[in-house]
Amino acid sequence: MLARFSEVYQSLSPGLRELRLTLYLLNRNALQRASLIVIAFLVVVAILAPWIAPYPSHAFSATNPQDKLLPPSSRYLMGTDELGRDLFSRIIFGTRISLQTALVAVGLALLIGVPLGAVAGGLGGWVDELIMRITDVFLSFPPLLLAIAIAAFLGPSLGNAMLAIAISWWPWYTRIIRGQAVSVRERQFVRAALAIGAPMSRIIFRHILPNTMAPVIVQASMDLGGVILTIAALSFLGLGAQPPTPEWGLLISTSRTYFLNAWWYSTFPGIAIFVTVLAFNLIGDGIREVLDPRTRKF
Amino acid sequence: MSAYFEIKDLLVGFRTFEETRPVLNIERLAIERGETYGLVGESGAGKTVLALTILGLLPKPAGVIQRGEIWFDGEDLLKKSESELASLYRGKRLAMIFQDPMSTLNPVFTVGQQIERVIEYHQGLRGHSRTQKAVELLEMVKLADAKNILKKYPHELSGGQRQRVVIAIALSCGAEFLIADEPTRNLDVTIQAGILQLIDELRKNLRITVLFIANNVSLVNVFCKRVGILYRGKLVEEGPSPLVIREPLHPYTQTLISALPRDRSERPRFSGFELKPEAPQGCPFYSRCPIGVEFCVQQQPRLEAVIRPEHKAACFLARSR
Repeated sequence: MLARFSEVYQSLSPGLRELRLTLYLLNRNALQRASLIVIAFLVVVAILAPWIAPYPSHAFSATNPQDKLLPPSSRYLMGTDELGRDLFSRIIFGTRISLQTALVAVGLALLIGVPLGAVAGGLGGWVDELIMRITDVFLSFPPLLLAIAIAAFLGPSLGNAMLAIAISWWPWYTRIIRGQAVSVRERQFVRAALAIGAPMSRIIFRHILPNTMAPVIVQASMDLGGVILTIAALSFLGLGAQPPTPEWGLLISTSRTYFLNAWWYSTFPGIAIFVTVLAFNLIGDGIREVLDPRTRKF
Repeated sequence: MSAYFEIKDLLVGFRTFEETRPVLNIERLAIERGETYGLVGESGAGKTVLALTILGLLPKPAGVIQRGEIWFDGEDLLKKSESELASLYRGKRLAMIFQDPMSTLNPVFTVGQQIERVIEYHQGLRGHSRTQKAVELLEMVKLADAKNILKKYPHELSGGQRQRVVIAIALSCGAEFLIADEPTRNLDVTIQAGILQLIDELRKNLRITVLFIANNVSLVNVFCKRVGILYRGKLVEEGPSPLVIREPLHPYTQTLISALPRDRSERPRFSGFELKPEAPQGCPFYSRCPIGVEFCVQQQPRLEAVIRPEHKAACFLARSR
């Protein structure tokens, strides 16, 4: 197996080679393999939601009052909610929403945080000072509280919740990148790039940034789980998704009222959140292990 | 009329809490077009600081150029702005090879990406002609299997190969003045010889001028036409290399050369330095000088011709022997 792998491996282009190796190594650890499978499964479910869900119309506004609060059965795999909608279909559509919002929120936070961190670390001096003091301001708020405040200020909606999360999250990436950039800046190849005539702006993005990405990739993949959790929390508090969106946190929030006589209503969305967050956290750990040659296990 | 490359009255210092401490003080250093000039000195003598000063890359804000001129082809480099240096000189006319080929290349990109980027940036080549040029450059530095090497990451290459790649990048955009800062450090002796030979061949073929920095006199002897000995930021001796090696005038050069192992019957003599107090007003070498006299404490010797006009030394006692 390994011999065949290395044969194929040699023929790939350098970038693909690295990606292939990372995936291969992730795949070798049972726990990481399981989380890779879970994530792949979630992605497939999210993409194919309208075709998989037995009652696609139940995901949003359709109601079905005569079947309300039915326990799991062969007809409704995870039972129904107070309006008689199929919980299974709603959770499937919820996968879509959770993955989407998590990707967008983390992506937005990276988009703000990474360039700022690279510029701060690469240039140093007063630019660094300015950017880092701003991040200090953001970091001095408890993260969920800041997100709640922003979401409350912008008005409750899923889009605003994503924005709120991105705004409270980017300083972490700025810090990580900046710390890395400061040390990479002192490396010889930066000096060599200067000596061959490259301007600092180019060096920051072409040479320093790529060398700082590894810890951020790890952090971001772990954050995907955290962000899903935060979105769920915001929705639970009424600051994220609004009914009838089938968002997991919102499902749990509405289920509170029926908690005592409809156990399935809060349990299945809870399990969905749990499994997803766990998978992302495990894969984050795995990526960290695999990206660092010293902890790589062949 | 100044020479092709000439340093005049250069004083570079590093700022500390109490003072700006001088680290480089060169009265005059001239290099002719097409020449290889060897600069030798122990670690901390200021060799690398000189190289960085020429390129305008002194670490800021610690390093300060207090006075002086660096003339290069009729222009004073120290009067150029940072953007002028970056866009018109570095890479295009001046280039530098660094000490440690292990860390001069960016570990996350392939050799090809790094070479092609420089070509694209300076010469605007794209696509196939860019790759073609990269292959030509690697062939120029005598790397076999150039196409394959383009696809490799720096850590997949040996030290010698990496240094060749670094040389290829340095000369990729037609630089005419190459500063080689101990390019063979950390390399095996056989690889050293190969790299030196390559630099010499490139100098002849591309008609470039080389400022060769080394901490080993014997390397310079084979390879450079003229040599300057740097001690504590000052040129203490300068002349045609065979002459300096055979008849060193300055006591520092003499100890350097006597420390070279010659053959098996003769054990290298490390004439231990008998440390004397520093002479802040006088000769920088006084504290370690085996022949220093009282007069050396009072005045700084200047670099002056001794016996032959082309062979200079900064020592009061050089003439008397």
